[in-house]
Amino acid sequence: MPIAADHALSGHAGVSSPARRLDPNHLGDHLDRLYRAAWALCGSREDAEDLVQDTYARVLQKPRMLRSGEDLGYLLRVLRNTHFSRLRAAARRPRADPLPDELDRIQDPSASAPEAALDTSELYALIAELPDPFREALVAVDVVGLSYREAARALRVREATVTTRLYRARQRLARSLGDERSTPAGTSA
Amino acid sequence: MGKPRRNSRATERDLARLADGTLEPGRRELVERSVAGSDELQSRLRHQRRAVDAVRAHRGERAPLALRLRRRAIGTPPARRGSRVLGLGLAGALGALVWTLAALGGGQAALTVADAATLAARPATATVPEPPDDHPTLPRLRAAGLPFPYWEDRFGWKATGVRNDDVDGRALTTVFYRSHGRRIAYTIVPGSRLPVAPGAATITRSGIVVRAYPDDRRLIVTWLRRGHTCVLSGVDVPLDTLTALAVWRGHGAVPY
Repeated sequence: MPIAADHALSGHAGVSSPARRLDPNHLGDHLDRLYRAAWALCGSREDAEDLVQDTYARVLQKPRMLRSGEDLGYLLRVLRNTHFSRLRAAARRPRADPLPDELDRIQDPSASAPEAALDTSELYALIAELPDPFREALVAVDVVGLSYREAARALRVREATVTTRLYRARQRLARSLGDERSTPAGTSA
Repeated sequence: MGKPRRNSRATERDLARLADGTLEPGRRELVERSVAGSDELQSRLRHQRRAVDAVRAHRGERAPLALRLRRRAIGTPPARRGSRVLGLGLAGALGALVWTLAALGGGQAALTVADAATLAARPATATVPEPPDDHPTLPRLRAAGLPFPYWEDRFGWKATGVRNDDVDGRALTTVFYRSHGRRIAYTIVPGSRLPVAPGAATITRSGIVVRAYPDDRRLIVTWLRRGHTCVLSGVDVPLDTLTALAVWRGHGAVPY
């Protein structure tokens, strides 16, 4: 279930760092990491772009008060909630196949490092297939780079829970990577 | 701190932290000893590290330019609201508080050379006409009044396409050149000079100051022509090549 993110300060009893307003001018500092998180959540580059855009639009609807150092964790929480909202909305709509991008007339084999891009797509698609709690822990810690404590705050769970979920997410991901590349999968939890 | 127990959640947490280097030193020694004595734990740790390495290897993935531009559009307030005051109620550990805040303000991040260079990864949207014999610039193709050079005869770089983008109110024109399977992109950004990455190298050649820096596998050079920023970049293209192209005056037909 998504968690409420509109009141950024709620639910952090015991943390006494001073609150300050989230600075819209610095939101772009987190764009790349949020984009990767969105991609790993959605499994699709295009959906990730839309998700990040929706997340920023949501955050900028009104001033947000955060404690020091919580910007990224807060943005990840809004991103996650926005993702679930979009999934619910999409489930209520009839599905349509995407149209081809008519502007992509000329391929650029050198600029985009196509092998790396393909690997990224494969990797994030595998992450997107993980069960929600596992995927969210892995996205928060390994994709976005939050500390375990920050991830626990962002996901509103205990730090030990994040760690256990992260362990299991990695085990599943490693198995999936083994399957993808036709190498023998080892034992796991 | 006790010895890790197999199949326990504590073991899972130990292995997760050991794999990414966040296990505290004292605990780490204990866990490493346990892992060393257990094939099963070694296997589980390998899985952890494989996943960590795989994900971290992609931390350099950047948001595409289209998203950067969309974010700027979102982040730009529709109008300055001056000192209008909003009240925002917050329920938290400190109890209900009312904050008096200035209205959402602020501007947008400035367009940078790095932003302009990301256009190199976008496709061309139109073809480029061939110039008449011996003409050093591409015909009917200008940005900020500046022509783009024709490099094929002199350097072997054939102009293959062009695209136009409106970024932050500026009309950016990018011409793509190709040689021996490699592709470079030359963007002219009209208007004030764009900020370049800190630490960029400075090279002066033929009286022209060129700044150069790598961005992942792409090498970017930037310089000014009549005060407008030019950005040339390519993957696996030597700095000398990019610099030589950047400062080529085309017998005076390419103005600086």
